[in-house]
Amino acid sequence: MNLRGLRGPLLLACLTATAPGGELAVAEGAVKRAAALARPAVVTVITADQKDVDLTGVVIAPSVVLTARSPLARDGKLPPSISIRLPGRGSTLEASLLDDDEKTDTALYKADSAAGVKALSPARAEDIHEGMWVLLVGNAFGQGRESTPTLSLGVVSAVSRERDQVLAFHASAPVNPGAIGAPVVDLTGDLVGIAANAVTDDGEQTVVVPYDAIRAAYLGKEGKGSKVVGRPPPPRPIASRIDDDLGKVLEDAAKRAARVLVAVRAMPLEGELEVIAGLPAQPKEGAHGQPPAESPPPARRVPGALRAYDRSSGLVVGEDGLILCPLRITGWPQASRPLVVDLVDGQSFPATVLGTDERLRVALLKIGLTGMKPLEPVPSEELRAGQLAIALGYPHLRPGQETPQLTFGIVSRTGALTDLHPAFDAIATDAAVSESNRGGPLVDVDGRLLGMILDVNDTNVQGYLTGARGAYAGNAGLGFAVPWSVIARILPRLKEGRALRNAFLGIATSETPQGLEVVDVTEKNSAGQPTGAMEAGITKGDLILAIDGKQVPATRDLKRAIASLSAGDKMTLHIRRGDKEMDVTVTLTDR
Amino acid sequence: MRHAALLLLAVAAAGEEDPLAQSRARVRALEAEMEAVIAKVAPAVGAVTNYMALFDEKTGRVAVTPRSLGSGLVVTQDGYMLTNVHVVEGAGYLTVALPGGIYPARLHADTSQGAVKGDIALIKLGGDTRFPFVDWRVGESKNLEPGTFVLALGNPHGHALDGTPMATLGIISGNGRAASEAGFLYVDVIQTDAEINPGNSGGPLFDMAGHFLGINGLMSSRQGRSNSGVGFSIPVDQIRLFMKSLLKEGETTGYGFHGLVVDSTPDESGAKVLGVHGGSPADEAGLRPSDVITKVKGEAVKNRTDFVNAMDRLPEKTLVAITYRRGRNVKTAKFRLASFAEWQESVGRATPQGPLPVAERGFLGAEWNEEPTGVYLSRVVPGAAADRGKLLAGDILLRIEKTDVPTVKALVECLATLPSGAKVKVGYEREGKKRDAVLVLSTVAEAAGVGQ
Repeated sequence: MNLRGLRGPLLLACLTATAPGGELAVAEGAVKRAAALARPAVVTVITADQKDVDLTGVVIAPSVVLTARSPLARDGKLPPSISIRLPGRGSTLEASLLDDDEKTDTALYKADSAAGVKALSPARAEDIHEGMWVLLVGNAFGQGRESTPTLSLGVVSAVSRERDQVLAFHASAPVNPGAIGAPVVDLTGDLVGIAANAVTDDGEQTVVVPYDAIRAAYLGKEGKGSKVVGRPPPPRPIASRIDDDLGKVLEDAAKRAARVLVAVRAMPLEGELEVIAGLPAQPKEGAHGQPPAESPPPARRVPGALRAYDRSSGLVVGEDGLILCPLRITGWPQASRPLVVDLVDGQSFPATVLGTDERLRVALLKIGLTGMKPLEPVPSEELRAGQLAIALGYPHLRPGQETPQLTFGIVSRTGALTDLHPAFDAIATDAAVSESNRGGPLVDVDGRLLGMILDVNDTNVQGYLTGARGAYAGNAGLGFAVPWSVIARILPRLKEGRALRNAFLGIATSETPQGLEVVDVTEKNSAGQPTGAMEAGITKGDLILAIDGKQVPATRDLKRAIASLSAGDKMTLHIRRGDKEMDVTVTLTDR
Repeated sequence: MRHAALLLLAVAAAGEEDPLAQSRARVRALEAEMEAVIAKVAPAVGAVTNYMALFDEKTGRVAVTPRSLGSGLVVTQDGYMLTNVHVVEGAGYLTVALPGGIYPARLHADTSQGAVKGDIALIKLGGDTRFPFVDWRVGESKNLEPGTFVLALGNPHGHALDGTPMATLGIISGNGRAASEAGFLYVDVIQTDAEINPGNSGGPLFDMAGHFLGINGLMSSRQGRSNSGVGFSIPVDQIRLFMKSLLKEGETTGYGFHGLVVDSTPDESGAKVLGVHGGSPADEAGLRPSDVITKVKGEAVKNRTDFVNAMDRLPEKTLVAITYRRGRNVKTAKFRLASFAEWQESVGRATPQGPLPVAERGFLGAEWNEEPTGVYLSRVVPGAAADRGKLLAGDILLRIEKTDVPTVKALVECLATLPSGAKVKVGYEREGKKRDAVLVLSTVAEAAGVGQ
């Protein structure tokens, strides 16, 4: 085993903590206050036959609890009474059915014993916007049933007025079992809506039914519920807190990023038929594993049909119609399928493949449109772990027909990925990244481009990077983007129409105390051409000391150096042969 | 950061009017604070690799191969690192990747042998260096307010094997949680929505002042081993109760044993005793079934969760005072939590000694061949036990202590009961002459030729 240099003292001091201050403390204070306001009004709803997967409810008026309808319903009917548990009060309490509404999938129960609980005041629908911070307060996995409910922080990722729903995204607040019906509050502690018994199609975003829509539904029915849901609140004074600033800035950054976000579709070749119904092809499941309230018919598929994922996001990278997208969409390495690029305004253009890169798994496309504006990139020296990052995607990859959804997190790490995937530097982020984001932009708070979200759909890379296995390839808080600096290096060659292949040197090495020793030299690559190592006369027993001026003590360093180049590139090896040291320049081939 | 903010404003003024300039400046300031916290604590966060020991009985050959990955936090300058037991258990050999390089490490002490199988482990890094560290004596997890911003640092899926940890942002979702997995029990732990994935285990949770809050070790998930925003962290206050004994050489402390089995009363006015283990501290202090416990160490107990959180997080030998109702009387009892192993022994439940796990065994540091005339050494690992005892390839082994070892089977059976570090007398034959050597048996790492 090679222990890479036990290098000497680095930082001698204890890494002492400092007192929190500044904007971070202000933002944190807002979250804590909102949590403190909301938590006393959160109720555990105990379902009769699912003791360990309760629901959550919220007190919206004196003695009135609002919760989700479908998980309680049996044969379409709601039980006339249910058991609830209030925070800080031990025993369970009875609550009787007051009213219910199928459209918003909600139910109202009256619990006289909850009279002392202060009801949450509602937020104004007009104040809800993308990028706004929200808290979900529920009983995920039953945690908090005996003590206090669980808090999760997220942002509103998309507002979809047509569906009468707010699609709230939660990087950190998915609706886990137990949290259906949980209130979502803004950072003043006002009720924005409740978590629906459904998730978005990619399974990653929590669907939140806005309280505004719930109130309107009960008022319209004029039943018992209309007496308790209240009137719309007056406008709240304009705040100037950091969380409002954050909301505005995130929304603005997302808008900028949306201008370069496109969808790329692979059209079926002759003999192939397209998927008939919409995406996704997978039948949906409610978050409880039950069918959601309104289950759309699953997409029908026919033999030979394009799979649902023959679509992806893409990124405008040049004014003259240049689009970067995941390589798999083009049908690579087979003959290219006809491609169509859908723009944000709903226009569609046929696209041709200019260049491809096997290493980054990207393709450069060209469409017949000029005057497009790529994003200003973030210089690589400004990349830092901890900076805020925003990912953008269309939930169904249908620009023009839907609004993009934003997800938000921090840059978790920068620098080369380790042995598992050494091909290039990557930006890791905890912003939720799902299928719809791949190929799309990751931007900073000014809407500048950090990188292109890595497409991990077509290789085993997915499993390596996120640990996701099998059918589930969703978000685990581990997203990766190819930094702009890496893309910029290959872009000129892609514009020239090159098909860049992974580089191959043609040697096998063994780690020895003296250095990397060549133990074998491959004569020819799979195409029958002599390998670079063969051409350059590298022989068994040579010690490789450095590559392009950098030391390579371990095999992985060598692999990384090769993986940072493409076939056709040159590298200079500094080697020792016997007593002599020399520089040898090698032209890499493909494998 | 003020400079950056001013600069931004200046740019906005020079170009088109940016209505968000002020908001942007504040967000940038917030961002810079977050970056600073990560930059400050990251040097003390390492990626732990647990190498499994492979032992070929036929030849005596020992090798190590990576088995699992985790994270850890350096908490002293001389290289003690906190991590999870489930990250390091069964390891034949450990390495830790820090920004300064990769260091060998060994398990120093852990909390897995108590009444509750605890998941706190302390490992010691080798290498003659002074390490950047986060002091375990600083930081507090008591009264952590829900909504507090936190950062989890670690090595999810091995992405920090080059020594640069991954940071994920979240908040405190709740406190006083209990959870369990694979026999490990987490009591009175922090719940967070900061993304914690496989490989994050053993890694630290920090607040925005860079204070160490706890060790991340467990998550609840909708989708197998993929994060769903529900992670658990053993709080630093609980860790601190164990630290002094964990740091001592040769001493282990587990979670204390009280002997009570309780459930919440229907009205949640306390924890009702359902059973008391015979000979346990609670039994000896006079607690009986149907007693209702209302206070532990002065803190109110309203249900089972409160009781578990107050009692099961304490190390053995802790003195506890319990207030309980019996009928109409309110009584108090004081007792010292027992060592679980000692209690088991006292009631005759001690487990018999069998062969040691490979990771804990002592090794000769030699490979062998069985011939009709006996077991010959075929190779001696440089620097390991046999080499230090001047044994050579070609020597015939006769005896380990008082056990004859004419066959490989007899030799392996004999060695399997001896731990590394044990001093043994080895009888052998060289060139027809019988000799003796006293060896200090090697660790897996030494025997595999990779150790300190």
